[in-house]
Amino acid sequence: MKIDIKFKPSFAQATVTLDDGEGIKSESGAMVAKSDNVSIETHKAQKGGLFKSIKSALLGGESFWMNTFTANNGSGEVKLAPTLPGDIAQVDLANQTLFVQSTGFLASTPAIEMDTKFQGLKGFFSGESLFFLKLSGTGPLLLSSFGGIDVMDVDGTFIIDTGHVVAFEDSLNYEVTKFGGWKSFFLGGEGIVAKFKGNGKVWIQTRNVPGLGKWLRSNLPPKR
Amino acid sequence: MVTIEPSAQKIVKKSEENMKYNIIGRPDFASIVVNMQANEKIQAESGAMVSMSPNISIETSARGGVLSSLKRKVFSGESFFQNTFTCENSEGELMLTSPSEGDIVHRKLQNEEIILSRGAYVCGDTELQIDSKWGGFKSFFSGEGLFFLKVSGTGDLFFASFGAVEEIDISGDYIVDTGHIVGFEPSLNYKIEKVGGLKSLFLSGEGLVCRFSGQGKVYIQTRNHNSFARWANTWRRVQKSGS
Amino acid sequence: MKYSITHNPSYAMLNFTLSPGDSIKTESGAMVYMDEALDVETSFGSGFLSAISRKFLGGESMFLNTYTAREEVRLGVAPEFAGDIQHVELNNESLVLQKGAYLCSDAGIEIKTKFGGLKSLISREGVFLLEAAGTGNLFFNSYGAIIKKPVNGEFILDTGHLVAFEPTLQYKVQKTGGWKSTLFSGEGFTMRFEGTGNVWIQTRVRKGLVDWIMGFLPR
Repeated sequence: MKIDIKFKPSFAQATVTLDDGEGIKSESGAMVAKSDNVSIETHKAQKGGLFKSIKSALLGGESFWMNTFTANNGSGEVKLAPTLPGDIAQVDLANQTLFVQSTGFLASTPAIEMDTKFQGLKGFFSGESLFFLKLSGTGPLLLSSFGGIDVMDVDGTFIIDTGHVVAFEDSLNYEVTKFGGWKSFFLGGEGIVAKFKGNGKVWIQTRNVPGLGKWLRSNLPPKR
Repeated sequence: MVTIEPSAQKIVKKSEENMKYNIIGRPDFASIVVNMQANEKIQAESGAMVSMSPNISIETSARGGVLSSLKRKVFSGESFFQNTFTCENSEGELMLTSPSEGDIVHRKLQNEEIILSRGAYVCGDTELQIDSKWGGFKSFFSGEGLFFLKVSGTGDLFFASFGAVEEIDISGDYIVDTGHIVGFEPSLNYKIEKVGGLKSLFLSGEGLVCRFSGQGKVYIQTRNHNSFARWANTWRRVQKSGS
Repeated sequence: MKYSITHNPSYAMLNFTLSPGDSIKTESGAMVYMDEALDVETSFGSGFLSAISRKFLGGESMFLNTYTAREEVRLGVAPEFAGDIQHVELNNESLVLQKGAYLCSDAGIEIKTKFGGLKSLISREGVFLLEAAGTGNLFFNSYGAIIKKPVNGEFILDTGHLVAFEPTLQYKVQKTGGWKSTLFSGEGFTMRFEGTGNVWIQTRVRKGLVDWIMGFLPR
């Protein structure tokens, strides 16, 4: 598999060249274009039956169905891109586990397992999706961000606005907490933040998905 | 006051054509700066003007008549009215842009034709003909609208994308999601079809795709305006009945 | 205080390294990340009335957050929209900002509402202006890329594309071309600047994004 990410950092697109018989799993709706000999198979998001997939769709925010693209009779290519403007980062997992914010998953080798992790009620309160997909295994994984993507090294305690978290290593613990004092929490516009503790990497995005969503809610004409 | 040069100002594509233009801020938030000569005219999509010198005048009209304008608006997502900018007396500077986040492509047409997707046209030579084109029956189901836009004639043409633009020279068969097409050359054959089996049609999130065959160039955009609009739609408020 | 602007021009983020005692005032909701040794205080800016008029006329949040460092810390700040961040250093000067363009500043810079004149009320995008005055660093943001246009003489700008201008410039809000153009050109009202000074313009308009999205959706 060869992955070529172009048009970074704002409108990144990954061109994946697959060898004969090789596949890549992607979130639904991510295909831009493909060779004629690349086939598409639509399947549930994770192994382990319907219930786990429903849980993944409801809690993880990722579509219930995923697509696996496979090259047949020779090599072929598929171009993948996320829905929102932003970057794509390739992370090569080596028997590792990464927690990825629900909208941050673009694609991975089919060998990487996907599970969801429930993050508690506080996530609902902030109005922001705080569900993470748990991705484990070995091979390439493509993360997508809204805006630019940065890797921050955490050593000790580090605070991130929940809407800006893309992914983090499982060596880190985190809790969801209110921002500053009560006045700042209610009036300061930050609401709930994620407080990371320990040693490890966090991937952050330079724009906030619910931030744009809320702006659209107040500016788009209502549905009839 | 201490100020610094904005970084986007350094990203410039300079023209080597008769029309003196720069495309600045590429590829993310591209805009066109035209250095107009006396009596030069440019036609543009309504709302495209950012700024202009005081000696540039603007005239608003339904180009090609009311019926043709209505057809362009209803079927191809273009504005009903077009603006013609004229530079009077001396030189002037006109800046034009597109509403979508993304790039702007220039192409000089030499007595030829290009097919653009809905809403992609930004501005161009007043000599260019702009018309709606039937996209085939299946495009009705693709959410892409029934019509493309056909631009023909001779002159400078500028069109915009959502995301970056990749030019693909097709030789043989190649499949592109309909929401990622910006434009293509009419030498190509195209067919709207479903991707994969029936299960994929309904559940893959890919909807319909365009199968190109033959020889020619396709301009694809790296973001999909249909899926972005659907995403935005999930945030829309619902108007309560009776209000 | 040290800063760097990364991911510009499209999804710019402002990264501060603050020394103990350094303060930064930001628009509410702008914090992306921070170390723990920062105190945050939420205030009405320059008083309650000024906050109210900023909210209703200036398009900014009523509240400003002031971050003060206890140790050497990192603080990341970004605007809500796609676009660039520009830095200017004011030296007992002022800069006029379009509503929504203020991102953050040194604590000593005052942010006030400035009324854009009667005609601005009928223009589609509105010309509600803020004035940032004082001495220190000021950071403002755009939708789309920012272009700095030095004006010497006259210059016509679509109202929605304004980000900031120097108060040495005079301006008036006027219709574009004839009445037909004003009503149907999609350009609506424009600002005519006169004099000498810089105008910062943005290459996209938020209202344009709404129309563009609605072009692909059922009404």
